[in-house]
Amino acid sequence: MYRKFLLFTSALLASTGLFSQENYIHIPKNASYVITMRPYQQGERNNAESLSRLEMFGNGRSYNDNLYVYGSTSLAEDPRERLTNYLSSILSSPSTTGIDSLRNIYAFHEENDTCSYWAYILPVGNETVFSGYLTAHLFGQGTLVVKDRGYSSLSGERITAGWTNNYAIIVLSDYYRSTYDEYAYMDYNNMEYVQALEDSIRMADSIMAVEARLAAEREAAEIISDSSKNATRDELAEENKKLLERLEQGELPEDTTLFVNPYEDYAYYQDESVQNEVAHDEQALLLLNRLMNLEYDNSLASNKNFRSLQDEKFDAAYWYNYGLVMQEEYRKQVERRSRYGMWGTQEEQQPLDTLLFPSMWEESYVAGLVTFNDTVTEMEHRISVGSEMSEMTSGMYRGRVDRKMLKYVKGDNLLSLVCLSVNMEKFIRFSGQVYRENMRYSSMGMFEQTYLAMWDIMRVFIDDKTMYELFTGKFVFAVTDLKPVVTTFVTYEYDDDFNRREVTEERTEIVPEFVFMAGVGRKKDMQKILDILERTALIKKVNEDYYMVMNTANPASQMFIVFRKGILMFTNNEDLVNNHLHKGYKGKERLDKKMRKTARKSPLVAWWDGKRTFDTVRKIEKDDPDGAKKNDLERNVSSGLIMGKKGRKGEHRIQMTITMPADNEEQKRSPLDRFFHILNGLFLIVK
Amino acid sequence: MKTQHFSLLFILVAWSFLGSGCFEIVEDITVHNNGSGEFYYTANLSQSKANLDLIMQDDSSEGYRVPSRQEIDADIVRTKATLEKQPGITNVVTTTDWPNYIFSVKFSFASMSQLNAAVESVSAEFAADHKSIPEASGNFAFAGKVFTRKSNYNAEKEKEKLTAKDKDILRNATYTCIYRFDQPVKISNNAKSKISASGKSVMTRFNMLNLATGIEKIAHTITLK
Repeated sequence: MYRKFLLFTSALLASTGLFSQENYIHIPKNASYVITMRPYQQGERNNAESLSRLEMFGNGRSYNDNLYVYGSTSLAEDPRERLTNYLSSILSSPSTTGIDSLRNIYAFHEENDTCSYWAYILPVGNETVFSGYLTAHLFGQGTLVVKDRGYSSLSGERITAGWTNNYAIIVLSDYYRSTYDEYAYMDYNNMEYVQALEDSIRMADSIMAVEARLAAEREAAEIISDSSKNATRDELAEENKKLLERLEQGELPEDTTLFVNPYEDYAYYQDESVQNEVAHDEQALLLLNRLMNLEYDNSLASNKNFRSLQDEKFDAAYWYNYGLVMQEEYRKQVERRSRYGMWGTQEEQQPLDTLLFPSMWEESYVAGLVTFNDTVTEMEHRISVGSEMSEMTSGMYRGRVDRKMLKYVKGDNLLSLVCLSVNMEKFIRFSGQVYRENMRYSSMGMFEQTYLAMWDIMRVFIDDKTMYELFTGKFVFAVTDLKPVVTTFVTYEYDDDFNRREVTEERTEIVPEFVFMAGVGRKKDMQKILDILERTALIKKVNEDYYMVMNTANPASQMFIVFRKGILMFTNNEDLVNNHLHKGYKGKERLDKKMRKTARKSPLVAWWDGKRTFDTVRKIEKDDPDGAKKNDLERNVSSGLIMGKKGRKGEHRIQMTITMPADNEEQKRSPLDRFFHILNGLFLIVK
Repeated sequence: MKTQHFSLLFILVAWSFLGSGCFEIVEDITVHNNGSGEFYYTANLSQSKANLDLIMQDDSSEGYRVPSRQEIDADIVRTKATLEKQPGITNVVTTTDWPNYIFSVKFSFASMSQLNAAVESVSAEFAADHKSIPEASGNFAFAGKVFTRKSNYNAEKEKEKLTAKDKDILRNATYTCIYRFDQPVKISNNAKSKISASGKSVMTRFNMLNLATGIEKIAHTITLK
């Protein structure tokens, strides 16, 4: 009886599980980036108008060029503006848009050889409302809804949407051949030209294949017609093949100037653009159909790491498949090396002497869980690594920085502080391996081997033990103030006859006052290094306490080196090297007790005081041209704190806390709304 | 990164893109009645020197490889040697001011076609290193009393390739063209041009971002009296 009950219960649970299947079943297995949002946990207080005004969303227009805010760079201005307003309405007023406010929203990215796209998965609460709002606000009233595949769909202006009564998918896709595009703008030597021709033929072949497939699917006799003014694609492909054969047989002289045929004529290029647009829409519909009908095995739902993240508590989360991204990067690097003729064609390349790079990040994922609590936003950044990386990195972060290092950190206007404590042997082994592998597959060409050889030669002269023990693994970096430094530059003045005269002008630059400290384990060896640097005149001993770095005449770049009491110090703070090396900072100038305690709470601590940074900048730069840009960030961030946190086996966790100033009662916004303003502030500064 | 096509000395300018901040390029050409003249080209990165001091200490920045000082010096020597080999080109002088990051090349040319050939030869010399300038071909013409500064740069096509970072760097950069003649100038067809007090020189200042995106065009025609 008990067994029957258990079987019945299990069956019930399984069937319930199937029916309550999450919409992430529609995210493909090879998605590289996924964002999950639960925007309504904070209530419907997100302000649509406020969000749609953010520059980050391009105000729907000018600011958005080349940035993947929506996941597509090829949207025209009008659809981009409509999408801005549509997405901000979803965040602010789900019931108006027909969205189910109790379920997750997803955005994801997938890329392959010919297609790169972002897609949004929306939970549909009321299909009639959803369909009406989507049609009217994103595609334009009167657009024909197609209902021939078991779901409704709309398409136009590079936006494609499909929906049922349960979920909707909006796809923004860019089809391209990135490596091919590079060739259209390059000078070729013959070796590259061979490759360019091959690309060209592949491109033509792939377009023809798509045409054929689409033609069959749509039962159209011919979707893409030939231009009457130009050769057919078949003829061009044939011509390319002939040229390729002649090149390979050495029939063409070395200095022959050749062009990639499909683009040699601009009229043809334009014609092809129109054809591509048609092909693009058709491909987007195929892609949508694939996503709407994705099966479990081809879905990200089959990825345990992603699935387990979805069970956790958060308001928003990002996740990316780091292993997959690195694998793709590796593939591109190898292709690029072959393409640029560094090592001959791919087939001619020597067997690779190390094969760790493609596998070292296997099964590695990066995730971040963001939670909003009134004036505090917390983000937990997690890096899960596969067994190979886990072996390399476990136990790498441990211990705390030394108390004596903290007394050299000036605390009265501290802007940021980073403290790191690591096991040096683990750290060097890990860094060396990653550095080596990255170098091995970089595009540095002929320099790669030289660097790798230097790395190995260094090991001949410095034994592993010395490398591990030179530093103790305790590092502190602090920005203790911002200071104005007057620098000069040369520009020109012109007289009435435009004869030029060099003039030297002054300007004030803001330079961060910083100190970097490293604990030294082998003092005699470190002293030898400094002696060598002094002998080669790279540094100059000023007195018994410190050296001056000699490679700059620019006062803004003046640096000092100190080595005493087992601490190696780099700083541009002249007051520190002249007045505080013996006893450190005292009294009000000293790092306060709370910060000293925070600095030693974990092997990794990073702290930033946003408000103080902006106040300091304002004091120096009264007419800051970028003031308006910083404004949004300043109004929304008080401080940030990053701390290492204990994770599960094979996992590294970093906790980030952003404190935001409270809003006025009458202007109270949701934490999500404020978080978007922080992102917008960062966006403006980066831009 | 296609904006480098404006520069005849790509090797000098390309790495300036690595740092944000200002830079200016001055193209100063004297054209005599018989078509001979002097070419003086300057890349002044002085306003970004603090950034460059830092960048030059690294081997890469923002995803671009940073060439070493020696490498740039070698490229300048190579430029000089290439120009000296060109028929009709004499008095080649290159200068480097490393503390201020100012670089220039100056030479005399016997005819306009030889000036064009000289510029093209520098482009061809660096073709194998992908530092060439495909559009640096036939940029100058002087016939009768008409001087033409042409440009083969296709802004419509190239602007799509500019990244946000590229645009940010070009936003504060200027490109100044100065053309000097023996005869007074009648008219320049570029509305931004200014004619000097003596009437024999024309100066036009462009914003590099506007050039790169096609808002402004470097091409203009100057008619002499």
